[in-house]
Amino acid sequence: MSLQAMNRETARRIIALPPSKITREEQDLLLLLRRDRCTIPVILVSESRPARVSGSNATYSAIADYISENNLSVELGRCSGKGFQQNEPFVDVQLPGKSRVTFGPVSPEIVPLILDGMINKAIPMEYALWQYRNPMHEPWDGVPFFDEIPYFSGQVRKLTRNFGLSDPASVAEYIARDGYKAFVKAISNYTAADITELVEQSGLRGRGGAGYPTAQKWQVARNTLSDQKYLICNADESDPGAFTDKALLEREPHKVIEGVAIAAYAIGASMVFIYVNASDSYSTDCIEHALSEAAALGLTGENIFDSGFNLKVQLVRSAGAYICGEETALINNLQGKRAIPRQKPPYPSEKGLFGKPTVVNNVETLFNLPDILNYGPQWYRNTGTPDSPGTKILSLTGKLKYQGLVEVPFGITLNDLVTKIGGGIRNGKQFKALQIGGPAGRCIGHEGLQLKLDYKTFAEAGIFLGSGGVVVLDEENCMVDVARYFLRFISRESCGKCIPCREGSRRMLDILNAISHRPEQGASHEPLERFKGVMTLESLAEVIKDTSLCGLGKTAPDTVLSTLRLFREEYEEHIFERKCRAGVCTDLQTYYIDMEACTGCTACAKKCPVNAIIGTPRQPFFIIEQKCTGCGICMETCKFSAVKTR
Amino acid sequence: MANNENSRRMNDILKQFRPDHREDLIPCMQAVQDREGYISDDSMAAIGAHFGIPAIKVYGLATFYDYFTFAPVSGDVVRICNGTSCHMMGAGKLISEAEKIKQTGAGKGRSRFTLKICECQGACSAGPVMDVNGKSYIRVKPEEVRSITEKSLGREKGGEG
Ligand SMILES: Cc1cc2nc3c(=O)[nH]c(=O)nc-3n(C[C@H](O)[C@H](O)[C@H](O)COP(=O)(O)O)c2cc1C
Ligand code: FES
Repeated sequence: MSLQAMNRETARRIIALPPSKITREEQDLLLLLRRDRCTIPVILVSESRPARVSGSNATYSAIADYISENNLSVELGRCSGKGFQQNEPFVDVQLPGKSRVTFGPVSPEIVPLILDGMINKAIPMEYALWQYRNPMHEPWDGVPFFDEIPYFSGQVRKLTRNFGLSDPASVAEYIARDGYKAFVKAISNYTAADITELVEQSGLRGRGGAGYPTAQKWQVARNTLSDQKYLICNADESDPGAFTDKALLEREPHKVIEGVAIAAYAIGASMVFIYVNASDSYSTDCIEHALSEAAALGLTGENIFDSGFNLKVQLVRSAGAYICGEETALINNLQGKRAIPRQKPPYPSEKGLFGKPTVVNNVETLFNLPDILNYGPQWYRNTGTPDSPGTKILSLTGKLKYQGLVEVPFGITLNDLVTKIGGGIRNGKQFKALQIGGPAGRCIGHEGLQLKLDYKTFAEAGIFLGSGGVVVLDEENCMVDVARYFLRFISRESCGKCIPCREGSRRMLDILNAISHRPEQGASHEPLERFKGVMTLESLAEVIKDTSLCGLGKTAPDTVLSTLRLFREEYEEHIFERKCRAGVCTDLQTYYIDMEACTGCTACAKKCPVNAIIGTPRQPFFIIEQKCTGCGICMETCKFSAVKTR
Repeated sequence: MANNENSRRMNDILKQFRPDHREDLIPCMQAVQDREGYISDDSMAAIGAHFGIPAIKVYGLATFYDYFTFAPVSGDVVRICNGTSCHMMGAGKLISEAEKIKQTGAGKGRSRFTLKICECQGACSAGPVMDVNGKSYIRVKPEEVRSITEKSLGREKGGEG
C-alpha cells in the first residue's frame, strides 16, 4: 500500500508519537497497512531478483488480467522476497478474517486455479506452502504454519522478520511496522554518546568480514576532532556468490536508511554515502526510491524532526571491482581515483575521506541498529553467543535441497545450517565440502561441520567469515575446479599494487590450469613438473599471505590451501592419472566409443580434426587416445550416443 | 551534423559535474558510459578537458574498473551467470558452449552477439541462469544453450544493422 493511504502529517505523527497518543483512525490505518485487517481480498506477488528470474512479472500480469476479466474487487500488490528461493514466484493470498497463505511456484497457467478457489473460499491445497500466524486471523485447516516449515524453523528471523510480508517500495508499510521510530527517538531523546553506549552494550560487531566491534570504531571517529565527519555504508558486496547485502537494499531499504541515519547521528556525521554495487541495478533502484520517500517525509535533510540534526545521504555506485569493498580502496574510489588500498593505520576512522574521520560500516551492521534501539541491548544479546551477539544473514546456496537468504543466530553449527535449514544435499548425493566467505574464505570438509559459526570460533580456526556467502558442494564438484574458480577471480581482481598478490596469484592459477588440462604432446617430464607445481603452490601461497598489504592478498590463497589440505588425493588424481573424478575438468576427459552402440556410420571420423578416430565402415570405430585433443566434436556429431567420456 | 549532435550531448552530461571536484570524475564517466553505452576516445578527451586532466589519465582510470567499455556492443547480449553457485552447478560448461556458438553466430541470420559473463544474480537456486536480451532462463543445461540462443536470436537480422 502506498503513502497515499497515509499523508505526510499522519506519517510524521505516527513516527514521533508513542502508540497511546495516536488517534483511532490512525490505529485503523496501521492495522490495514500491516495487513492485520483487510476489507477485501488481498493478493501480493513477491518481487525480488529470484522471483523476477522465475517469471514473477508474467504471474503478476496474469493475475491482473484475471481480476479485470472477472470484475473482482481485490487489492493486487507486491511484497518483498521471502528468502526461500525454491518455489518462486510466490503469491500470497489473504481473505478478510482468514490468515495469509503463500502459494508457489505460481506460473501464469495456475493463476486461474488458485483465484477460482479463492473466490469460492476453497484453497487448492496442493499449491499452498504455508500460512502466517496472526492472532487476529482464523487459520486454514491443513496448511502448515510458516514457522513449522523446517527451512524457517531452524532460523531465527529477527532482522529479516518483515521479509516477504511488506512492500519494500512503501514507506507507509515500513512506518506501520514501527519504522523510523528508533531514529526519531534517538535524535529527540538521546545524545550521540548514549547511542554509542547502547551499541557498545549490545556487543554489535561489524558484518563486513572482520567482526570489528562497531562501537569502538565509532568511538575513534567521535574522539577525533574535525569540522566534518563522514559515514560510509558499505553495500558493495562484490563477492561473486553472495547476495545478502543486495537483498537488504532490495527488501527493506528503509531499514537500511534508518540504520544509516542512527549511525550518522552517533558519530556526528552530517554526510553519508551509501556505496552500492553498480552491477545490480535492481537493488540500486530500490534504495534510490526509498531515499526519495524518506526525504519527502523530512527524515533526511535539515533540522530533522526539529532536533537540530542535519543529514545528507548520497547514493554512490561502485564502478565494479572486488577491491572496491575494501574500505581504503573504497575511499580512493569516492575521491575519483583508482580503488587501490593503502597502508593502515591511520585508520579511516581517524583519517578517511578527504582526510576527515570516516566510519566505514557494512550495510548489515547498520541494519541491526533500529532493533537495538527499539528493543534494547539486552534483548539483542538474547540471541547469539556472548562474544558474537545477534544473528548473521547468510546466502545459503549450492547443492542443498533448500536455498536462499537465511538468518541464523551466532553459535549455530555448520552442520545444522546444512542439514536442518538446507535440508541436506539434494538428489541423495553425498556432502563433500562447503565454501564459506567467498574469495576471502575457504573450504570446510566433513570434520569442520562441527564448527560453530561465530567470530571467536572462526578466528581460532583461522577462517574468515567474509560476506556471508555459503556454497555447499557435493560429490559432483571437483575441488581443483573450486580452487581454480576463486584463483581466477582473485588474479583478475588483484588491484596490482603488491607484486606477490598480482603475480603470485597468476602463477598459482597457471599451476592449477596445468593440472586440469591435457599435457602437451611430447613433454616427457610432465607429471613430475606438475607435481613440483603443486609443491610450489604451498610456498607461493605462504609468500602471498605474508607479504600482501590488504585483506585480498592476505586471504586469497586460503581456498587453494584448504582444498589442498582436505582433498589432496583429488589433486594427485589430476596430476598422475589425469583424471577428474567429478567430470568437471572436461579438458582431462578421455573419449571412447561404445562398441555396442556404434553403427560404424563414419560421421565422427570424418569430423575429427586430428584424425584420431579409425575404423572400418559399418564396424565399431575406435579413438586413439594419444592423438585425441579432447575437442568433443565426435560426441556432438554422433547420432547414436556412442561416444562417451571417462 | 552528427558531430555537433555528439558534442552537444556530451556537454549536457558534463555540465552536471563540477570541474574542480575530482570526486565527480567517476560518476561523470559512469554517466557517459550509461548514456552512450561505451566511452569513446572523443568522450575521454572531453571528460579530461572538463576536469583538467589528460585523457590518458581518464583512460587509465577507466581501465581499472569493470564498469567501463571502450567499444560499442552489438545489440544482442547473451549473459551467463558465473557466480559461485552457478559455477558449481555447471555454468562453466554453458560458457564454453556459448563461446562455440558465438564463433558461428546464432539463429537464422547467424547474428553475432555479445557474450557477457556476470556475477551472482541472486537467483542461485534456479541456477545456472542465463538471459538473452533480458529474458531469463533458469536451470539451463549445457545442451540447451544452443536452442535457447538460436530461438531467441532466430529472427532475420533487420536493417538497423
Ligand atoms: C578485498 C576486500 C573486500 C571487501 N569487501 C567488502 C564488501 O564487499 N562489503 C563490506 O561491507 N566490507 C568489505 N570489506 C571489509 C571492509 O574493508 C570494511 O572492513 C568493512 O566494510 C567494515 O564494516 P564493518 O565494521 O561494519 O564490518 C572488504 C575487505 C577486503 C580486504
Ligand atoms: S550464482 Fe548465479 S544466480 Fe547466484
